[in-house]
Amino acid sequence: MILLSQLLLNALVNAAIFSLLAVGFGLIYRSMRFFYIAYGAVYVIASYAVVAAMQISGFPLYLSIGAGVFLGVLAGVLMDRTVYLPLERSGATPGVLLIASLGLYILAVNAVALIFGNEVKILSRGIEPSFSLGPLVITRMQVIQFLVGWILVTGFWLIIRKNTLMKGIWAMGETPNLVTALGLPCGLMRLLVFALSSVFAGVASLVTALDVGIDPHVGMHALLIGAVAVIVGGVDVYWGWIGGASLLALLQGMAVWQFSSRWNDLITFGILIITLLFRPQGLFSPRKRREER
Amino acid sequence: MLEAKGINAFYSRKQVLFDTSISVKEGEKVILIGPNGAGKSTLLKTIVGLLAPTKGQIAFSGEDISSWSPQRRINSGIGYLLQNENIVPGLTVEENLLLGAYPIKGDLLKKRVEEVFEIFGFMKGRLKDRAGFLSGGERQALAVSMVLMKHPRLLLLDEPTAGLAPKAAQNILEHVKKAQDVIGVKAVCLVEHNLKLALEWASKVIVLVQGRVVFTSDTPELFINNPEELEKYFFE
Repeated sequence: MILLSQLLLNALVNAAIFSLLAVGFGLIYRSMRFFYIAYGAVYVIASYAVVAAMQISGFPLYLSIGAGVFLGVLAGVLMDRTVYLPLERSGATPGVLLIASLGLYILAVNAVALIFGNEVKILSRGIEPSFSLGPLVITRMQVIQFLVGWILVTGFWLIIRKNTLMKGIWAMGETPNLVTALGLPCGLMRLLVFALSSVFAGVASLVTALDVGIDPHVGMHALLIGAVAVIVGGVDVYWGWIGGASLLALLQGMAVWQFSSRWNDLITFGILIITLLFRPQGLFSPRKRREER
Repeated sequence: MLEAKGINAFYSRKQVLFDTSISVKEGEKVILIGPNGAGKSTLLKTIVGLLAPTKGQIAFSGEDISSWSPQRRINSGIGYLLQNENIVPGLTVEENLLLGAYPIKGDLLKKRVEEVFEIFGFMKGRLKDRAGFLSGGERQALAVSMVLMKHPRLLLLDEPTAGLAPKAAQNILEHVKKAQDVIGVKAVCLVEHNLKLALEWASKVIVLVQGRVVFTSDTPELFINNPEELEKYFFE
């Protein structure tokens, strides 16, 4: 029972990180309607920017974290301005954007591996302090992950609820022509989408890397977690993304309890396939009129 | 008020507008009619900047707006109602109205919402409803309201009565007339397939066939009882 409780506690922390990944991926998938594979590259770049700032430039941790998020945002925005936006203007289909995104991901990951090597880079040294909750144990880094994750996704939800421009971003995926026809600042909204998505990817990457380190190839895993959470939860509902992320974290925790963490990918893709087969609109998607589907 | 001169426009390699010119003066209610594929919707899209013409000039209130972005055109006083997907079904009625009003805030925003209630009274009790659950007529009313939120001086409406029952269609046009009084819309240009209904409403008729203006009249009332006089242009 204690083991199960401990795994549930760990799942709650993982759900916070998975939710960050889901919100970052969902923002672009929902508003731009293309599968943003290079999201994984932004995830990797943010943490390696911290590695460079701390270990090469000798910056203190808090400054390095700021630099990591900033460079992640810069990478995301630059990818849009130099690749996606010109492609879209030339009439590229979502399929072309997906291939371009895959190309960007491979390019970025290989560049990072070339510069920093393929081995895992550790960002924090020493033994992480931990706290006891009765028989359960939680590390300081897990507390930070939990708080940062849940505060960010809840705070962002409050902003979406109150801010009209955010509602415009939400509308972009559903009715892109309408957003233009209403005179909304589409250029600014697009910039915001890529910047905010990168912030979520960067923060998720940093709180994970500070705990377990980073290697150049973890971006694909982060991308898949974010994408599966969004699709399973329902593309059109923000709390669906969080619900999908939490469900994934919980099921992965259960897999560790019953089998082994080696089966986590099986859980991730199993739940994706089951959802696509039986509820393709997502588990938490709202009821819609037939013509809206 | 609006002057579009010598417009050529293409979808990919297919030319849709051929040296097309129209003008809308202050106080006019213009209907743009023609068979399917005549280029009526394309002309409105070009005027509002959603489609870039390869040739021609567009002036609004005496200013050349040909190089302006759609955002600048809309914010300068042109209101444009899309034919399809003209509301956001996933948002509430209120959220849709706020989108139409962006970037207006505060007391002015409240005033604009009240004006919409004055025109479309039903909306007051439906603000928190999901827009996707509105009926066809209510959706069109919401779409028109969203366009009115910025107080456009010129309204470009692309088939606002499409898919509506005759009564609901007439209702929408009556409300557009009411909007002219309540918020001071100076001119309206409407694409419409229901000829009889539109002719009763309009002060000017323009017939567009295969991307060219083939007939213009300032006396649409003459055709109310014999719209076939206009329809003959469709097949020439």
